[in-house]
Amino acid sequence: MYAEMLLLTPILASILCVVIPKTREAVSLISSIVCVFASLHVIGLKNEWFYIDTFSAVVLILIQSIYFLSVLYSLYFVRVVEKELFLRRRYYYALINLFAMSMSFSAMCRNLGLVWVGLEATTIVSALLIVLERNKASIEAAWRYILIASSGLGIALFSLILFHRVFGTLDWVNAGSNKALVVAALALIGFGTKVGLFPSHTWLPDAHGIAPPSVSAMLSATLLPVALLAYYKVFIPSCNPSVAYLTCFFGVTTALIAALLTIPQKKIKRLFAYSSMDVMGIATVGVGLSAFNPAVLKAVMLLLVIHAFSKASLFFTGGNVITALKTHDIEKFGLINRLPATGIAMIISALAVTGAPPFASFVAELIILSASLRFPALTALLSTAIVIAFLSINYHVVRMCFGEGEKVKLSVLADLAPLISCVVFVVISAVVLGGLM
Amino acid sequence: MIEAIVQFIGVLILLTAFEILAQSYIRPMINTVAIQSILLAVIMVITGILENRLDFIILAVLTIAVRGIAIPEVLKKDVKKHGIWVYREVGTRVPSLVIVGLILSIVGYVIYRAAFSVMQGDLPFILFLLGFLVIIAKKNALAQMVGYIVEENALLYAGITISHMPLILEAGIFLDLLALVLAGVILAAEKDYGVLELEELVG
Repeated sequence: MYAEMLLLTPILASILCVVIPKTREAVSLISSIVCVFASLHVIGLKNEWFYIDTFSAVVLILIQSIYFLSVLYSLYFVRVVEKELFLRRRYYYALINLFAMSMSFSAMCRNLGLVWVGLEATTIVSALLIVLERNKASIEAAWRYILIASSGLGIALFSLILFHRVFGTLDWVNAGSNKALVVAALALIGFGTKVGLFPSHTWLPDAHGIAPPSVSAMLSATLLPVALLAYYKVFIPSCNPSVAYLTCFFGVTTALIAALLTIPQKKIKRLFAYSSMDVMGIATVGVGLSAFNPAVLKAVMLLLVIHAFSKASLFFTGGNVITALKTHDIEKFGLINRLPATGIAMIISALAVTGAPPFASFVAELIILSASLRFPALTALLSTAIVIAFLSINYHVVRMCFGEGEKVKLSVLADLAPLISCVVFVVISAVVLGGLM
Repeated sequence: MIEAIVQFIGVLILLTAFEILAQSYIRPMINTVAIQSILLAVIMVITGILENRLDFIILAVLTIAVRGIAIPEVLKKDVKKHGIWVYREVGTRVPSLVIVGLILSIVGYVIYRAAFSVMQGDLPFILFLLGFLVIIAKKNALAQMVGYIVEENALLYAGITISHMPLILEAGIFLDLLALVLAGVILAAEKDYGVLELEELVG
């Protein structure tokens, strides 16, 4: 029943948003809260349609939590957008609900064909959300996103057609085990496009940079893990050392390139987008290493959890800067003085997302790095990527946060979502550290 | 005999992809992809009858309706509106593109045969690569949209020839939906800002 609730509640909310526009905000907020509670009750669910193992459950809870936070932040952001909107506000909320629903569908299904259908649906819905503001840059970014993402998903569908031929089923749980390198390689490239893996990552900074912060948060914190989960479902049955090496190679290359690309960034949200790419690269290496040491997968999940909340917080605080200071550029704003709550949330979130101790992301990255020690070159490249991203992202954030400036007044709603995100990842980190001690 | 006909139509489909690569006028490019979709629908009908699969027949009807008629008509209307589309596509080097397409086809064939020596599916695989090439190499949005339809045709072609995959109808519907969204974005963009041309697919 709870699984159906996760799908039907957002659909119902979307219909209500369109039919009774006045209720769009309340209905979306209620729907997201219902979904958060429903997601806590589906852990371990296994039936003909759904298979929710630990990884799927973690991703599902993340989807619903970020869905709630994004709707909460939308209450502030959508109201203060001054430019003409591409979509009417009621359609914006309807699509946010459908976006969450399609991601949940993809994460829950055991049939890989349906997993793919869910991901394809996320592209359709999110492309319309990216073009919230009516300007040429938004439309070009949406065009690039749909074209690259759909081409990637085309490759993924090709891999599933071959998967069906090789395994005789699309049910990843009962597919058995077959050393299918080509199937896995195509799935890695195909689903990897949605994960933001190099070389088909080019849509990611554009889409994240242009989308409203609430949508950027959902894209970064939940859509990328959903795509990684989809790849994982192909990776498990077709796993062999060659597939694992290939996965690690793509992961570490992505992390390294993303880390290097964070250095020259001049736009706030593009910086955070490259940071997402960096973390997804590290998580992909973790998935590859789980072929040799299954325990590494727990570190991947932990990394994704901390990344989701801290990255959502970063995008929300970025949104506050954009609306309050009317700029997308990274500058010496003196946020701590001018927007104290935003500045503090940004600093804490940046430290968490880059794996600074004592956050749980530090523990997760440490576990992945220690598992990579069997391949010294991988360890060297991965640790280089982690260090570069840490220094670069925190340097940019510190530049934005410290300095002089007059205080700017922002609505309480603007700081609510980032602060809740911070509380969640700080509590999770405390629990993880407490458990380790 | 029937298998030979299906193979022959498959080769025709591949030729249409080369025609699209070689074409620098937008309107003939759209007409060619419509013909390609109809040829694919014929294969779907034949396979559907032989395999007794109703979903393949429905897919054939959808293919003709959406990619054979509806989307090409919408795109052609757009061509009429913006005079620029009627003329040559700017900036794409057609002769070298055809050579790249030929090399890609040979490489694709060799890779596919090396990986799956006994499995049918080399034609859709090559068609898919050519669709990908159209998207990457062509610079204007309408030509890229044509490339997307070639890719979609290749995927559905693969779905019915390689594995008789279940859920292929659903996949087809979602691919069509995305194609409609793509067409919608082009129309919206061109209404406000004129022709949509991207120098490269990198932000």
